[in-house]
Amino acid sequence: MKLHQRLPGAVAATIAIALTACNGDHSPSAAVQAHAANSSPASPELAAVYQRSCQACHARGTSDAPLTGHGEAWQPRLDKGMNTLVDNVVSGMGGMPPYGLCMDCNAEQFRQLIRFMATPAEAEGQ
Amino acid sequence: MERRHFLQLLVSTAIASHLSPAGADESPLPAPGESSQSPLPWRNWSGSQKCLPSNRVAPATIEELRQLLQNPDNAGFTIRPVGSGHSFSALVPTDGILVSLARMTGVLSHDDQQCQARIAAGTLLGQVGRPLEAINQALFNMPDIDQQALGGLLATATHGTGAGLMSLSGYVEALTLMTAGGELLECSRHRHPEIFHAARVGLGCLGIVTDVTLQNTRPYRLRKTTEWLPLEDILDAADARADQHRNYEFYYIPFSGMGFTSQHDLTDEPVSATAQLDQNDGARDLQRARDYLAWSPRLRRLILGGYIRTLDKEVKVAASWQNYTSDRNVRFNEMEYHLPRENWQAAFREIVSVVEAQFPEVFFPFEVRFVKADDAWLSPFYQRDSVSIAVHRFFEEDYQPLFAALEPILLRHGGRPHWGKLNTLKSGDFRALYPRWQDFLDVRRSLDPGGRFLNPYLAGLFETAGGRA
Repeated sequence: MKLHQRLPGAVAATIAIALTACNGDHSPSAAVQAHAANSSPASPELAAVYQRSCQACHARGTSDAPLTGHGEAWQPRLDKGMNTLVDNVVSGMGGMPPYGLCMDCNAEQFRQLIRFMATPAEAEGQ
Repeated sequence: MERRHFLQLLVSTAIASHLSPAGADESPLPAPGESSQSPLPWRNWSGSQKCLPSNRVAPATIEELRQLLQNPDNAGFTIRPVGSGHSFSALVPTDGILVSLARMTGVLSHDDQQCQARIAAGTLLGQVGRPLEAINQALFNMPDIDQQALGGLLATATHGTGAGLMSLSGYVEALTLMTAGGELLECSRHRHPEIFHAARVGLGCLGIVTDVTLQNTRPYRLRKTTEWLPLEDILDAADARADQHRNYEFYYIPFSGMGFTSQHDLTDEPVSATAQLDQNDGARDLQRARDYLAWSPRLRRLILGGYIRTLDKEVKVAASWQNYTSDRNVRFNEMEYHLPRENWQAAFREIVSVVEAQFPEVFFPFEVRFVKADDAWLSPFYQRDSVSIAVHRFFEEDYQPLFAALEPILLRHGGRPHWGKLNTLKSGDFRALYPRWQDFLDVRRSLDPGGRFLNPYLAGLFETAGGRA
């Protein structure tokens, strides 16, 4: 750790600005929230897993979870690549427990669940 | 300007033209491993434990669970039950079979007169409150997160706070245990009492607990008050306030001289809430303050203490099950010891002194909670009212130097470690701490002589020759 390293003033000023910067408002619309609250995968098997393991957070946005159908929140995650997202589910991420609470899911099921949740709601942005 | 932005401004003003962050060399998460069709690794929530199980299964019924245990193909594999992965200790890892009860959930039955409910062990704690309310019941107490599976939290004597309230294991009136051979045992104080006393805090090594019957109370509403105070004021009043309020705990923000108390009291007031500080944002702000101010404890204390003094008291009135827990999105590793109540103040003051003299990198708050004695054989609260002291390190940072420095203090003051949290104790240590240790070992050996439910960590604790990985 570099406890006492001094920085040029310009760099320090940049840090100061970065520290006080606020994030923009990317809150989901009411339509997206309604979509998240009411949607479920078409496949009964996948729907059962979704309802058991994902819905509690991704339908309500708790624990910093991106809402199902909130494309704007999902796109930066999708940009990391599907393998990275699956790895994040397996390891747990933020408030999400390991395996996203589906202890018997395989990688393909995780991919399908991610694709479902990341698909933008039709009404998004309206 | 929002409060947390005010802290950011204070920190940035202090460092402008002086410093780089002390923690800028971020270490990336270890590669999580396979993500294709090959076996997936298991990790706990913090990443402190990992394994590559040969199989992961989630039976949907008692019969499916029985078939799993009786299947000759599984005979050579260690079997470990797994909940939500919120334990930090090595209770779960195995290269055998991980068994989740995530498909076995819900309130199965209830007794209105006795105010008891039989709940499937795979039920998450966060899924218990609403259905219990629907049958005019509520848990006596809850911890500060609700992501844990009921079976896992009871197996580790997970607890909330309240000098007059036991850990959740203390409210177990009966349980159903499936043994290594697939036999289903109904256990209570009157049926298989020895197994019952062992299995209430059973570490998942006696068999698989499929459901529990909890003694509950009628639904109640709580007024939660959170207040920021100087540490000395907190310490002076803590024991009295713990006795005065239904639930009382406090957190100390290291290197600030300040902490916050949280107390719950029964109320009939209407549901309401003042603005609430997001604790996850707060943890990130404390990390940022550490990054830039660890070089000067005086400045850090001045800025953190000054900022904290601007924070308002928070009040939230809500149904009990909606007023205990909060999200924990910032991951950490944790060590927690439960001390005899008369010893906690001396231990806590020593910990603060050591940390603030030797560990400037620490930023997570220390947590202090009060728990009433119970009589489960391996409960850390066995026959003694206790105070729990918890210390944390951010999950990407090495916890071992801090925990190694503090664990001897906690032990010297008579502490017993939380079963789900990090500690370095061995079999002999536990034998000295638990009067019924040998009784537990006898019950375990009678139920599972082949050590089917033992991973290497548990085999080491029980000094068995088994313990297949």
